[in-house]
Amino acid sequence: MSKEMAPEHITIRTQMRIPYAYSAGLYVGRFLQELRDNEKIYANKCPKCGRLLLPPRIMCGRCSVRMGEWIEQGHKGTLVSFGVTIEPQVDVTTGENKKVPFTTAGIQLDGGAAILHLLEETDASKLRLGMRVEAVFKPREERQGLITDILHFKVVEE
Amino acid sequence: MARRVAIVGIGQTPHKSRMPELDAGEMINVAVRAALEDAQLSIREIDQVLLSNMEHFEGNYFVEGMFSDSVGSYLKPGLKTQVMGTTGASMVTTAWYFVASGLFDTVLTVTYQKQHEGQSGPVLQSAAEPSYDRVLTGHSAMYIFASLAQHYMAETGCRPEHAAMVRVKAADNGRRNPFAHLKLELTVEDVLNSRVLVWPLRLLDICPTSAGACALVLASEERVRKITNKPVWIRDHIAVHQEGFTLSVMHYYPDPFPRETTREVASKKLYARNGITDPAKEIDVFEIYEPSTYGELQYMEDLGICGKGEAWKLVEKGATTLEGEVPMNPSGGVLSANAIGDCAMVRVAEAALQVRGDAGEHQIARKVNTAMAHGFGGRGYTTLHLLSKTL
Repeated sequence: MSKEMAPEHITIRTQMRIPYAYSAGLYVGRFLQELRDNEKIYANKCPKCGRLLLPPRIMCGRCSVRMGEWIEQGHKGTLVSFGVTIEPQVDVTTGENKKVPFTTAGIQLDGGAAILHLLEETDASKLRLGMRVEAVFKPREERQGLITDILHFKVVEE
Repeated sequence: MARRVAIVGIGQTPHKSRMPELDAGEMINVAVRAALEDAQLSIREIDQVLLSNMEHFEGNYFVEGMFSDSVGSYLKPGLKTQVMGTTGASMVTTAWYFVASGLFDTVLTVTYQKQHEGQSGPVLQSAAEPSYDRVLTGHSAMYIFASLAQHYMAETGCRPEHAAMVRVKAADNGRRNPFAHLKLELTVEDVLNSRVLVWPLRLLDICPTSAGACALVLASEERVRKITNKPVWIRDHIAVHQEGFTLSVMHYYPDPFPRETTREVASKKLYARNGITDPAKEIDVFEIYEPSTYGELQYMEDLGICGKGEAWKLVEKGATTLEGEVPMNPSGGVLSANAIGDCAMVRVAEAALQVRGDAGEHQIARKVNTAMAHGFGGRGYTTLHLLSKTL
């Protein structure tokens, strides 16, 4: 390179917008249909080790056997973990930033399976592990056959 | 019977937040030249060349073809292994297979990342299953480590100041490492006062995003003697993968149907087949892949380096520093440099430098005969490499 050249750092900018369309499949498909049409949350059970998978899947990855019985989980459970996101992050399903703050929570459902979902409360100081929570569904006409047909879980007094 | 294999060349670029002065190929070339110079070999003496990264982070596909000139793979055989966070360590294992099998005597294996050229967050989320997991994972990897922090504190009595001590130790070590990205002067208060990203995790509880590359030359026992008098033997290695579709596998929540983590399974098997009963005493130094402060504490316990609930107490006593009884991450770890595709290989490279006694300012105080490198990756994958000075 010639000595006269200034050390300039040239940057090439590009952007991709790629639409995708995934098949939910037999198991998650039926799970989402029950959610959308009947407000029912299902897990299925491994006939060998007995654990419940939510959403239901075809195989137990641990036992390498086909999953069995579908078991309704109810709408209520116990808060077993949570994190309140403050830092804006991209929603990979839209490419836009998610609105913050939002609370992600692990919920032990009364039916025996655990579910990962959102929590209405976003003030961490008002939350503690062991609180009772309940699913809030979107109105029927707004449901799309997505896990977000459950709007969020809310803390309930019992 | 597998042939015995040693690391005979180690090369890294300095890691940085941004590297606008070099394109990815030029950056890879810096690490390749450093590894070849360290081995005192020319590229003509290398039988096979391997290159990988965390693909799509920079929006580039087929990078082993794109950068074949820079890495030196022209007319040589190659193969890429790509397994998220454990990619770097799995590329060491891939090279090991080729040398141990007798197919090749010298293999150059290279990994890199330039995170500032793309967006790692959305690409990481695309590793989540699309119908359920991904719709909810707007929190990406940070939520996983926030949840881990919450449970580690609840179960062990650890407080945020102990996690902060992990960060201060990482910063102290990182300042001594010429290849580390962050060279921070930190106090416990600095960490505790940094802003919350995902409660309870703060900015200084998690790793940075970095650019950098790492390269290693592996050789067969027959060739090792002609190349170097300071080989680092790969005594054993193991990879343990996880089931796919279970949100709990990475601490999203406590698994209602718990079983051992891949770290527990991998370390127990590795120790058993090498006759190791007290890893903290029999292994002189550990380079573990700790994406967060609490991660280092949890992983120390999962890897059997100490008992359950004991890691934060060791940190409080200063046992994990360069002069301590159980030195952890003398390089500064992932908390000090996170070019994610090369991270797990850097753990092996840094463990090897410790075995050779060539780590310079961040060489640990005690003599090193044996070191262990740990890799962590998406879906809870684990890799371990056990390195030693003698066979």
